[in-house]
Amino acid sequence: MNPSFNLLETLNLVLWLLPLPFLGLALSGRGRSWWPGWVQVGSLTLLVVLEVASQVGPVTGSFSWISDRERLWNFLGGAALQVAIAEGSAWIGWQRDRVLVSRLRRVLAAGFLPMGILAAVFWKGSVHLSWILPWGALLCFEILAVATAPVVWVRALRALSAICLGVSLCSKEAWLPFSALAALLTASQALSKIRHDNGRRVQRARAALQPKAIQELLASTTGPRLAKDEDSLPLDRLDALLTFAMQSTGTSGGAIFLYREELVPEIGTLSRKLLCPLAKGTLKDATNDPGASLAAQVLLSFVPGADQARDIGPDGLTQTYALNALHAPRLAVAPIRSGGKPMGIVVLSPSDERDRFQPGDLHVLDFLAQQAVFSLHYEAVYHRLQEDSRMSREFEIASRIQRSLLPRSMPAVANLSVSARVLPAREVGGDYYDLLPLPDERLVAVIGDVSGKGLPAGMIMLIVRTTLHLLIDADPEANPSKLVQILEERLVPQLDAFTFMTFLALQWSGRDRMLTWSGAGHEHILWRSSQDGVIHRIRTGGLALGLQRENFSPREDRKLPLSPGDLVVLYTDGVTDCRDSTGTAWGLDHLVESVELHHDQPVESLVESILADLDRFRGQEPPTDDRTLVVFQSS
Amino acid sequence: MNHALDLKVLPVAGRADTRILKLAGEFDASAVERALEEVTALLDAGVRHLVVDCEELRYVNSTGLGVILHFSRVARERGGSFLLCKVSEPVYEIIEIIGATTLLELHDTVEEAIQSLS
Repeated sequence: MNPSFNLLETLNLVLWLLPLPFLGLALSGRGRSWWPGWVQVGSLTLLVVLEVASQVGPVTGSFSWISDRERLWNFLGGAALQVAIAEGSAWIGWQRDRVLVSRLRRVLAAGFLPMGILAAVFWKGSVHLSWILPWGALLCFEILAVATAPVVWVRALRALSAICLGVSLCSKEAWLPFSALAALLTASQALSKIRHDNGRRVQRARAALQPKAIQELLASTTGPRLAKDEDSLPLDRLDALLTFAMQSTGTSGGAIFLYREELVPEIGTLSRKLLCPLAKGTLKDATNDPGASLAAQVLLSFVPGADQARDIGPDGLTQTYALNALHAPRLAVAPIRSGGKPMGIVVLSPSDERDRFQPGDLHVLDFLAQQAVFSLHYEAVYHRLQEDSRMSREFEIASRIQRSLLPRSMPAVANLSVSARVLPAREVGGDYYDLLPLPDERLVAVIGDVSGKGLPAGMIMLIVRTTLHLLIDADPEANPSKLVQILEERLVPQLDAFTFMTFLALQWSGRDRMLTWSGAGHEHILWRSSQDGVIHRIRTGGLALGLQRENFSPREDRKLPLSPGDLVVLYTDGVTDCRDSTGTAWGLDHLVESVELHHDQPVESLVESILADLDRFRGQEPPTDDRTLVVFQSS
Repeated sequence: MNHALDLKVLPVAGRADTRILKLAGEFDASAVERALEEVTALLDAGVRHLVVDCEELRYVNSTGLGVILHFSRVARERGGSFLLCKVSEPVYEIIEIIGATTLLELHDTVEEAIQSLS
C-alpha cells in the first residue's frame, strides 16, 4: 500500500465523521434542525470531488487504488440517492423559509440526482437487489410525502426511511459506516424538527391568545392584584374559560381557585388560603356542598397531607402537573401566575371513562391558566389600553395644534433677519416663542418657558399666546412692559400653585434699529456687538409670571440700540441645562462659545449649528426639557 | 449617576415648631411629589418654621423652584417661615434669573437662619 492511499482513506473517514458533533447538537435540542443535513451535503460533496479528482486529476497515478470502477459508481450513486432523500424530505421546510442556504442546498441536491441517474446508466457491476430495492422504495416514499402528505405523515415516513436506510445498507460491508451515519442523521433531523415544530405551535397559540401588546402590559403591571370582593371578579369569563377547557379535554369536572390577595400559599396549608368562586363560596364550603365540583373535592382530599402537596413549593405551583405528579389520581393542576407571583390554580378532573390526561390536555390547561390571568387583569388592561390610545391621540392633536401655532415663516422686517427653532422634549412642550410683525417696520418677539413640561405646560403656553395676540391686535402700539404687565394680570389666575412662567418680550424698531425689552425672570439676552466682537450677557430682570399672586409690581422697559451686524440670541434654560450622559449641563459658557464659533453664518444656519453642537454634547442622552433658540441679526 | 433628591428632616434643639430640612442632589420634576408629601406633612403636623439646608443641593430646575416658592408662600400664609441656607452658586443663579431673590429668605448659615426666627 502506498502512503497516499492511507491518507485518502483517513480523509474519507474524517469527512464521514464530521457531521457527528452536529448530530449531538440536534439531538440535544440546541442546534438548528437543518445543521446535520447541511454538513452531510458538505462532506459528501468533498468526497465526490476527491473521488472524481482521483480519476481525472493530474496525479492519477497516486490514486490508483480508486481504479475499482464498481466502487466509484457505488459511491456516486449512493451519495446521490442519500442526499436526494435527505434533501427531498426537507423540501417542505425550504418552501417555508426561503433563505440563501436553503436555495444552495436545493441546487446541491438537484446536482446529485443526475449523478445518481448517470451512475445507474453506466452501472457495470452486479446488481444487489438487497440494497437497490429499499433505496428505491425510500425515494418513492419521500417523493410521495413531499408531494401530498400532511406534516405528520412526512415525519412518519422520514423516521421509517431512516430505519430502512440503516437496515438495507448493512449488507454491503464498505457502506456500513456511511449508512449508519445516514440513518442517524435522518433520524436526528426528524426528531429535532418535531421538537422544534411543537415548540413553535405552542408559541403561536400563546401569541394568538395573548397579543404582544397585552403581554407587555401584563408584564409591566406591578403584580397580581385581585379584587377584594368576589363580586368584582370576572366570574362569567372564568366560568366560560373553564367550560371551554372541560369541553376541549373531555373532562367532567374543573375548578379555578384564586389565592386571596393578602395571603401567600405555603406548603400544606393551601386549603385555608383559597377562594373558590366557581365552587360557590370558599373551599371550606365546597367540601360540604355536594354540588361543588368534583375537582374541588379531590383537591381537598389531598391537601391536608403535606406529603402529597410537596410539589407545590413556597412560591406556589410553578408548573402544570398531570395526575400522578401530585399523587392525586385523576387530576391535572395548572398554576395561574402573573409576573412570577401566584394568583391561583386551575384544576381539571377527567370523566370516569378516561384514565389519563394526554399531553395535549395539559396544553389546554396551560392556556386556560394564562387566559385566566388575562381575564383577571382584563378590566385594568383594557382600560389602560383605551386610556393610552386616547391619550396618545389627544397628545398628537395637541402637538399638532401647538406646532401649527408657531410662526410658519420668519417675518420680513426692515434691517433685521430672524431665525428660530423650538425642540420639545415631549409631544407637547412648555416653551414658547412668537414673532409678530407690526406696522412701521416693527416686530414684537417673545420667548417664554412654563415651569413643568408636557400637556399642562402646553396649555399655559396656549393661554399666553392667545392673550398676547389679542393684546397686540387691540393695541399695536403697546410697548413690551405693558404687554408683560397685562399678560401677568391675565395669566396668573390661571396658574396652579407651583407653576410660573419666565417671559421676555422684545420690540424691534427697524427704522432706528432699537431693541426694547421687558423681562419676567427669563434667561439672559446674548448680544454679540459687531463693534467689539464680544458677546455680552444681559440680565433681563423682572419677576417670573406667577411668583407674585397679587399686588403686581410695575414692569419696566429697557433699551438696546443695535448696529448693523449685531447678533442677538434668545434661549430657554432647556438649552443650557441640557445634560450629557455624565449628568453635566451644557451651560451658558458653551452656548456663548458656540455662538462665537458660528457667528459669521447667516441666522438660519447659525441656529442649526448651535443646536447641532448641543446635540453632539448631549450624545445619546434623551433631552429632559424643551429647547428654544431665537436669533436676530441687525443689518 | 444619581439624579435623585435626598431629603432629611432634623429637629432643632429647644424649638418644637422648627425643623431643619436637608436637601441633597437635584430637585427636578422627579422629586416634586416626594418633597410635596414630606413638607406638607410637616406643615400639617404643626411645624411652622422650616430651615432648608441647601449646601448639598446641586441643581434646581424651574419645576423644583416652583415648589420651593409654593412652600415659602404656604409657610408665610400660616404665619411661619421657609428659610433657605447655604444656597450654592448655580442654584442662586437660577433664583436670581427668575427674580425670586426678593421672595425667598436666604441665609448664609443654618445657625443664622434659626437665630433670625427668635
